[in-house]
Amino acid sequence: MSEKISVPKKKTVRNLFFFCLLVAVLIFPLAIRLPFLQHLMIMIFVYATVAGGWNIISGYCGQVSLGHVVFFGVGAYTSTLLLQKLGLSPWIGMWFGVASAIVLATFIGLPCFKLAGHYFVIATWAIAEILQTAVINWDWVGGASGLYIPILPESMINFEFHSSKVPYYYISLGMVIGLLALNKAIERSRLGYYFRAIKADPIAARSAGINLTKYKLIAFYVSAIPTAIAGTFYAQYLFFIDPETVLHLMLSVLMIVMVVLGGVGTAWGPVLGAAVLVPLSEFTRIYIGGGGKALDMIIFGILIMIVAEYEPSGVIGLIRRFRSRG
Amino acid sequence: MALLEVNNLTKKFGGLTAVDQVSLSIREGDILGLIGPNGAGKTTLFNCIVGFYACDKGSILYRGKDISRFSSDVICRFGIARTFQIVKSFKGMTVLENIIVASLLRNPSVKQARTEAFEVLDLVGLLDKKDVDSGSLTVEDKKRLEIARALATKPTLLVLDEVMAGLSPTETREAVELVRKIHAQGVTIFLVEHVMEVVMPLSHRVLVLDSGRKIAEGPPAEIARDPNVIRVYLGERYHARS
Repeated sequence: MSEKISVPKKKTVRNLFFFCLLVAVLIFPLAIRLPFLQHLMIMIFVYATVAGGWNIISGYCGQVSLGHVVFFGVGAYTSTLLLQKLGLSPWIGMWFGVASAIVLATFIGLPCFKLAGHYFVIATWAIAEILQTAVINWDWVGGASGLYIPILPESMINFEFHSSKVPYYYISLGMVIGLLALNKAIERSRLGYYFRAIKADPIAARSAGINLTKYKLIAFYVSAIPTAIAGTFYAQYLFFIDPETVLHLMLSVLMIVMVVLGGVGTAWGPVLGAAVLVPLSEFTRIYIGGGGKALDMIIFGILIMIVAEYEPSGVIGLIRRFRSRG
Repeated sequence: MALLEVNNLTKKFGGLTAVDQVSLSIREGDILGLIGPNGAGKTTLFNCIVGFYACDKGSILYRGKDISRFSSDVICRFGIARTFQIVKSFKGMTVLENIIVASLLRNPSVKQARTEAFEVLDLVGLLDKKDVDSGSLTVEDKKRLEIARALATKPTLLVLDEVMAGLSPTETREAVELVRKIHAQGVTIFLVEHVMEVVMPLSHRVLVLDSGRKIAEGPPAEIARDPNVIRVYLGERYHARS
């Protein structure tokens, strides 16, 4: 009897927690006016979105991609080029970025999904390197020196704000909420069941009537979309992109590190991972400066070792363990 | 017209001819048993039929349509479902979720698929374990899960690859009962078994394979008396004495 009462109670507590969390993130930039802290939150949201994109193809569907950075780069470059060359609003350019990412995903996915395990990882890695090298040597897209986003009057339509970070904050918050909603929708739908089945046992999935190539491609598309959108946002937020920042392999690695730390194949994993790692990396950068460039990576490495050894399902696993105990 | 008709099917692995010009036919409502000693080519023949291997020669007609070039997911959609000799499950997913994956094939919504998954789990007797992680099931339950997953795709023809292997006598009896129950629901069954004791009471017809060749075909009673079959299973000495 007591169990029957405690179940809805637990749910109420849970809902209350999420409601408070939502209120907190909504009033955060109004209450805390320190630009650095606002910037920190924005970066957490951007990385959470990017890592969340990777989590769909690699976390849910089990196809570990080291080339996911290409979708981020394509998103950033497409909207920036359309803005520079044609004066197209980044809000529209963003969707062209998404479309380009989907075309690219088709070209990468069709041949690469025939490869299994490590070979898929290596192939996607190679593609990321090829794209970065190509952009470095392609002057029309800015080459190695990158592209500056044209400075326009600040407005929502121009996707540019100079006097305050608050609009960026809310846009990036919207991206994360969109990502979480997307993940929850996937988990409840046919796609979620199929992705997890493909990850667990592709041969059994196939003999249960699942067309592997089709559903892996769908997973790739769905995961490329938030990543490309985050790319456009990143360009509009920092006003500068170059192959070293938006097409660097390290960004792919960061996505993986965040998801592994937060919890692979879970909706909240990427968000939790980003919330832990982004502040860590920003603070080491501030307190140690340029000289400590790789220190955050050393800490990430140690964290990953700890996670792999003690809690392979990440922060989410820790929370679940804690909750079932309490 | 036969439901499934295999004509002169040949499958080679390099220099080894695993299946050599085997023909068979299954009518709707049949229980066909396929037996043979280790390495006879049973599983290879089986894997060719379900689209796991491409055969080298011959044809496989399902309702008169050649399916020998289709992959296993398409064949499953046609209505031929299989189980795996070495049991497979979607680890990290519960038993219920495992079956939902399969029943989604014939259901547009997850909700309907879930309802049907419950029915299938009830039939195979796994309902009380529905929330268990499929990776932590016992061998017997994993075999039940194999059958349930195949059944959830609503097959016309169910192809069972050594589902009784590794089971205790009691478990085997339960499994035989389960196959009977499934057949009673109108599913045609093609049974591949190593153990004669299982195939004989269940099958309407039995086909015997040895070294990739079909050596006998007929009702179980005839097969049990067939000198070739006795020679293959028990050796020359016993044949001579009988």
